[in-house]
Amino acid sequence: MNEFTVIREHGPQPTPLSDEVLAKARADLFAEIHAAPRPVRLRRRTVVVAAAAAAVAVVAGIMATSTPSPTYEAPVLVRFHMPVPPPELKPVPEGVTGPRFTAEPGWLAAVYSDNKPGAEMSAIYVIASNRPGNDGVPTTYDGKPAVLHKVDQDEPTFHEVALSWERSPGRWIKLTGVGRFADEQIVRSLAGTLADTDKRLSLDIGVAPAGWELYAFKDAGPDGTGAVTSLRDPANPDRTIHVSTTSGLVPDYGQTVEGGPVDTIPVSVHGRRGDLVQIPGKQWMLQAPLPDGRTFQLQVPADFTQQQVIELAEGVS
Amino acid sequence: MSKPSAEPVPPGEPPPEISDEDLLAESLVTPERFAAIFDRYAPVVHGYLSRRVGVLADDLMSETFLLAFRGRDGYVPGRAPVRAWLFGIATNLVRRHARDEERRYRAFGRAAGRLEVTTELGEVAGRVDAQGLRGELADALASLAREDRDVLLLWTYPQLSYAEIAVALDIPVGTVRSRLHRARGKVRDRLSDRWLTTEETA
Repeated sequence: MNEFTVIREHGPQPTPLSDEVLAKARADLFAEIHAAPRPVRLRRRTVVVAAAAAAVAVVAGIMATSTPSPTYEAPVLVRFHMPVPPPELKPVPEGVTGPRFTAEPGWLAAVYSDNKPGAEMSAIYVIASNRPGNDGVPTTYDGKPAVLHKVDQDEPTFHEVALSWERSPGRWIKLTGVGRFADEQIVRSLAGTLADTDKRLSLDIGVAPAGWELYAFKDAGPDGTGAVTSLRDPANPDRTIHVSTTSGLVPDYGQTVEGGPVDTIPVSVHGRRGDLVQIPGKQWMLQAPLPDGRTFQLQVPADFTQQQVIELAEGVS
Repeated sequence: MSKPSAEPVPPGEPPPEISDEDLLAESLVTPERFAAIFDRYAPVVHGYLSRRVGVLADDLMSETFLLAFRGRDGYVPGRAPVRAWLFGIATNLVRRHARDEERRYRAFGRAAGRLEVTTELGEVAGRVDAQGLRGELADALASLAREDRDVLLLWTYPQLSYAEIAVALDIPVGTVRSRLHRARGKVRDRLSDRWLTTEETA
C-alpha cells in the first residue's frame, strides 16, 4: 500500500448520508433557487460567454474575507425585530412536513417538503418577499395582478408551478408547487388555504446594532440544534453576528475555540452561567444555555464591548 | 419501394448526458437546472466532508451547494470541472472547522486503541494490526499543516488531479505538487514501514 491507499482504506470512513439529510439539503437549495431573482433570459451561448467573463469569485472568491477596517463607528444596540414568517398552509397538505424556515436579506421562505426519496422530490415553498416576482406570465389571483411561472423539464425530471402576488401592501408572496404539486389548479387551491401565522422563527435575536439587518436564517434540525441566525452591517458586509443553537455546552470552551486557546470569562446570561472568550483582533465567542434548555453560541466582532456581547446574548431566545 | 439498408440498424443509444458545465451555464437562466448538479454530486461531496469532519458533513454539504448556487456565475468553464469547483468550496468550509477535524482524528486514533470483542483469534490478530495502523494514521493526519492536508485529501478522496486541485484551492500547480510531496512525506514518516510499499504514484 502507498500512503493514499492507506488513507482511503484505513482512514476515517464516510458517515452514511441519510435520506432525511439529503432531502433537507435539497429543500434548502430549492428554497434558495426559488427565492433567487430570475435573470433576464439570454441565449445559451451568450450565457456561457458571460459566465467565462465573470471570472471574479471562483472558489476562493466565494469564501474570501477582506481585511476589516481597523476602525468602525462604535455600535449602538437597539431593539431588533425578526421578520414575520410567511402565511402558513392550513391545513398542511397530506404527505409533506413543515414548515421549516430559511431566510436571507429581503426574503423569508417556509418549506414544506416530502421526505420520501424518489426520482422527483415534491415540495411546497411559500416565500414572503419585499420585491415583486417578475418572471412568468401575467395572470390574476384573488382579484389582484399576479405572475404565473411554470417549469416542465424532462432531463432531469423537474416540474414546478409558481404563483406570485402582492398579498398585502409591499409584501409579495410566491407559492411554488414542485413535483406532484406542480399544477396550476393545485397551486391556486393551496394559495387559498394560506393564513397569517403566529409562528416565530426558532432562533430569535431581540437586540442588534442599529442599522444592521438579518443576513441569514436557517431552521433547526429535528433535535433543535443547528439553527443559525446571522445579522450583518449593510455598510460593512464583512461585519456579521452569528448565533446558533448547539448540542450542548462545550467543556473548556476557551481551550477548544478556533483561534484559541484563550482564557474563559464566566458570565451570567439569562441568569445562568455562560462562557465568554475573546479571540484578540478577531471576535468574541460566547456559549450559554437558554431558559428552555437549548444551548447556543454567539459570535460577535472584536470591536464590540464585553457588556454589549452579553446584552446581545440576553436578547437571544 | 425503398432499397433495404445494407448497414445494420444501430441499437438505440441513450441521449448523451448533459455535461456539468452545460447544466451550470443553463442554471444561470433557469436556476432549477442547478438541482441536477446537486443530485449528481451531493453524495460524493458528503462522503468527502464526512471523512474529514464526521457528522458536521450534513450541514456543510448543504452549505457547499448553497454557496455554489450563489456563486455559480463565478465558475469559469474550462478552467476546471464543476466537480473540482465543488470540492474546492467544500474544502474551504472544512477550514472553518479545522479544530473539529483534528478532534475527529484524535477520536479516531483513540477508538483504534480499543480492542473490540471477537471470538476468532485470527480476527484478533488482524484487528490489532489494523488498529495499530489507524492509530498511526490518525496521528499523521492530525499533525499535518492545514494547507498540506487539504491537498493530500483532495488528491486521495475525490482523486482530483494537480491542475484540478490548483483551481479548487486557487493556488499554483507547483504549490500543489510541493504540498502533496510534503504531506506525503510526513504521513510516511509517521507510519511504520511495514504498512507501506515504495511505489511512486504521485
